[in-house]
Amino acid sequence: MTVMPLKFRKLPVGDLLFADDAGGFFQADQEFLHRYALGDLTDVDITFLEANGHAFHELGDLSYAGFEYRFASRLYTPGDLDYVILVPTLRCDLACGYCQVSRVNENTPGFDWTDETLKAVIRFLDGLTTKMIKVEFQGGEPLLRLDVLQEVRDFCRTRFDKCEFVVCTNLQDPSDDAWEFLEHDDVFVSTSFDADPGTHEAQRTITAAKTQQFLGNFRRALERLGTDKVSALPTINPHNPPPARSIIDHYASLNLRSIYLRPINHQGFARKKYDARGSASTWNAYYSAFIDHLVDYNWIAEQTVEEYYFVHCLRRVLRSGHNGHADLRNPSIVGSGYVVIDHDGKFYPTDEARMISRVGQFDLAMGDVFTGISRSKIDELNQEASNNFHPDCVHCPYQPFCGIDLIDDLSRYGRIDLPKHLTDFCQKHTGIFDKIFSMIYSSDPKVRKSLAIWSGVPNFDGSIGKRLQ
Amino acid sequence: MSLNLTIPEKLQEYVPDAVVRFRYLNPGLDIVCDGSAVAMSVVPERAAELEQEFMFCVYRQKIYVETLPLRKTLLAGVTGL
Repeated sequence: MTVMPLKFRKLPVGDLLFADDAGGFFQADQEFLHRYALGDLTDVDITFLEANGHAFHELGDLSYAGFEYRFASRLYTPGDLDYVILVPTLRCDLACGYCQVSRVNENTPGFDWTDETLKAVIRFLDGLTTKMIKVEFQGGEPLLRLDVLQEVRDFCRTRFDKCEFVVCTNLQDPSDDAWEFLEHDDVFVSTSFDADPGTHEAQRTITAAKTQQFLGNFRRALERLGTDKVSALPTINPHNPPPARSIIDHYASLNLRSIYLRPINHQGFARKKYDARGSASTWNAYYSAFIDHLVDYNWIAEQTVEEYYFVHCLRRVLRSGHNGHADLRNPSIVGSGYVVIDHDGKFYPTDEARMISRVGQFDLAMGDVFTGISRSKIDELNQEASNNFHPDCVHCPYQPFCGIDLIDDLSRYGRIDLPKHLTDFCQKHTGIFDKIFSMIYSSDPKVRKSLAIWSGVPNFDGSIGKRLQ
Repeated sequence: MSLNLTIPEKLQEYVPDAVVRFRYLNPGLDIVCDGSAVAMSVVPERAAELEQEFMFCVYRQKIYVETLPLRKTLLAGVTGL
């Protein structure tokens, strides 16, 4: 019998969590580690490892083939380019201090698509081979260029079999025509609501009048478009976060059941105004407490609430192929499944890549809509986009569930070869997976109720958390 | 204080690489190895933790080396590379 490579991590209680490269995991004590490392496994060990898919007898047997399938299913494979993020303008009618895209004032000329850019974007979209397209309009405030949004939408509807449009808007001052645009069935709204009205005003709207204006528009969007078509996320200052319960209560009162907590990104203006570079430990403590508050809330709530990214990570632990979030993939191949087209027509592999290019840190542009996509730079970056054989990740039991974010590393540290445990990405995700596994192995009925809801099963009885006795 | 470890024979060949990784994870720590013996200068409060951490490095190195061919076979099987 051969045991598949096992990676391990010490748990707070003293035992160890083991995981294989396909994401199978179990707990065991340190005596098992000694036996495993020294090749002195007992019959009980062998029976357990075989029964739980961690071992095989010969290459190609059923156990090996099953493991190979599970291993392959954990890997992200980019498909057709069927998702574009369009930035028709960098102008914005708000001036948030943490703006990650370095927006410009509403009346500043020179930061919008020209007519030639729009035509070139349409030509680019026309050349795609996909039959389905998702278009995300970002900015600045994209509704300041409603004319562009309308033209792109009208073209896509004629060109593709299925279209979906997401408008990332601050909902500060939509015109009547903008509301008409947003009300179409294939249009979705993504906005920001920073926890509660007080925090939102302090971080975004500054004046009470503007706060009320936003809240009126936000409620109007929820009532007229429905909560299925409107998503909102709060941006949190890790060093001065609002009380967790305040966020949960305000979101729940608006019938928003999924909260996506976002720490201030180390991009754009936030680089100078906020200490967002090294805030992982502060963030992790807040985030963990927030999850605990959600568990308490869900225990007695009729309508339960989730934290979007936590649930995403939980589902990555529990099943393979859960690659829907661009920030957490392995390998994290960029510039293939989706691209960003900036206000000047340049292509970027990700939104964060355009941000660090905008501040002059690195130029991660991959061509433009006039001359076409240039892949050489991005292909070089993609060669480092896997965590499987990374000298740090190869020893980490969270590797199969985790990902890699080279652009975040470049943004924060100017390099991609920092020891992983020193990076913000690794520290935050280690914190999330520590929390997830502490909950998986918890016998607290409150925890199990939330895990069942978040993982989409009727009951979470704990049987998934195997333990080698 | 000086923390002295005697490494079991089955693990000795993995010690040099484990020392390199241990230094990478704990820069500035004074550690020397000589055959089956490893010695490091530590503050007493961290002795148990660092001993365990060092042995984890040795175990991990052994597991990594012994399973690397299997990992390569696995990856080749699913990617063709």
